[in-house]
Amino acid sequence: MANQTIFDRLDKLDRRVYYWLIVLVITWPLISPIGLPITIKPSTRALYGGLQTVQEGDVVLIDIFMSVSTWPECMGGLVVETNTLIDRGARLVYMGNSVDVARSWDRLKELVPKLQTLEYGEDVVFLGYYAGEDAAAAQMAVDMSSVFPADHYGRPIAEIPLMSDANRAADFAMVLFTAEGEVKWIQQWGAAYGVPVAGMGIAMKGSALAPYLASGDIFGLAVGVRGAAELEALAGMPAAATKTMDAISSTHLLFVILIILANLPVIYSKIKGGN
Amino acid sequence: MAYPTEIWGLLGLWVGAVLTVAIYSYMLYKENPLYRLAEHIYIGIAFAITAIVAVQNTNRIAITPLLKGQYMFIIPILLGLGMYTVFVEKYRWISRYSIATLVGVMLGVVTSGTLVPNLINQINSTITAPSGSSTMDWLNFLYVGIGTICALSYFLFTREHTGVLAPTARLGRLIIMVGLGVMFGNTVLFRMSMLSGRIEYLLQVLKILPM
Repeated sequence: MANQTIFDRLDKLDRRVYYWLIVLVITWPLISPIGLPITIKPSTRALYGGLQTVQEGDVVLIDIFMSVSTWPECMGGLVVETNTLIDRGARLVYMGNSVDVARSWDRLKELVPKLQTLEYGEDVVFLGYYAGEDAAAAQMAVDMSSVFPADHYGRPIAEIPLMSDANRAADFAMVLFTAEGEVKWIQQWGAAYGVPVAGMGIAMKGSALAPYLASGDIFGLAVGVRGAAELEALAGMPAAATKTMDAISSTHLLFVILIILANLPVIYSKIKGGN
Repeated sequence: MAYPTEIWGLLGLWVGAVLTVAIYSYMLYKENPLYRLAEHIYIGIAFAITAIVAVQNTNRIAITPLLKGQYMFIIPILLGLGMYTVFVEKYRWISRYSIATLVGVMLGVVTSGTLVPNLINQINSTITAPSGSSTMDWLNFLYVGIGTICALSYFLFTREHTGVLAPTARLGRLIIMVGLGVMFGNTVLFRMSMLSGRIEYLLQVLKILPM
């Protein structure tokens, strides 16, 4: 025992110590925000810039493809998008491919009080859940009412004034995806009908979406909670995502330190000539 | 959202908190009864919600229009029901018609939409030099161009990786590893965001943070 190095002791440390360390490092900035600076990526700036081009009366489709578990990643960005589009005078059509989309819609209404001031059916509509990927998007592009005969609340789509102006892809100024499910919009609306597509991906989708951004198939992209925090910074409304970023940045710093610490013994033994 | 004061709201809040702790207890104490209980409750509720939403969706999209006289909807309903014959060996052949239709429709729809954004635009984007004079743009362009060729050469199995293919395939493998590293990093970021969301929820339940 006396011959044990610091590396040996670290190697034998109960992994639960590391887990508690991570919990501690995440919790502290949530209670007492540090206010770490957030740099804004060009892709997020392009997304926000695209939202600013929306004209009064334009219809924007927002696909809430996020479950409750994805709220910390994408809800902050969706709040900024919604607020910005309302300020631009856009008319908003929400739907989602996640079974708990109605819960996300309710949460969005709580976080964006302006949504309550809009006239339902005229300025905003929640169509609810839809099944299917490309087939559903392709069908919506030619006849929205065939996929949604009624909105989420059971009101026939023929009785919703906003939907009489928005029954096919050409009627929409833009599609915004949230979390996932972006490929169907790129393929079936962007490539097929030239509808501008952009949105927010969960962090895991960041590298998969980057080629679409480079090729111009999407005009903007915010990735994960960092993208949401960037949107909050652009809109000048720091909120949940900005606070979460403090916790995330601190945790990542901890990871970097732990990775270095874990690799030091290997490097040390190699220098010493061991295996 | 304000902190709930009525009994059902408080109960929901605390059930959520206890189940969150129960799920994360797996990392600290491995498979334990509390974790198993939370896991089973989660799977049960998730299946129940999915089943209810699926039934509501089928009712809204197909059954209601059918009952209103749009008899075309009998076709997708029958095809959908045909899927379930997969569980009865004697009638399993019926499910093949449903699956064949599904695969055929998806193939047709996806193939027509996928060519431009996933192939043509990607090739164009890779071989088109940046219009600006920014050094970073040019470095990115070279990295993507060389990286694409090298990564493709790694998957060239019709020739042995010797001669000119040896260094390109090796570089390709390194570039693929960098790509996988980026994806792993993003995955860690996603998981930490989810953990942060749960911790924030627990802090809200304990009234340390406002709702």
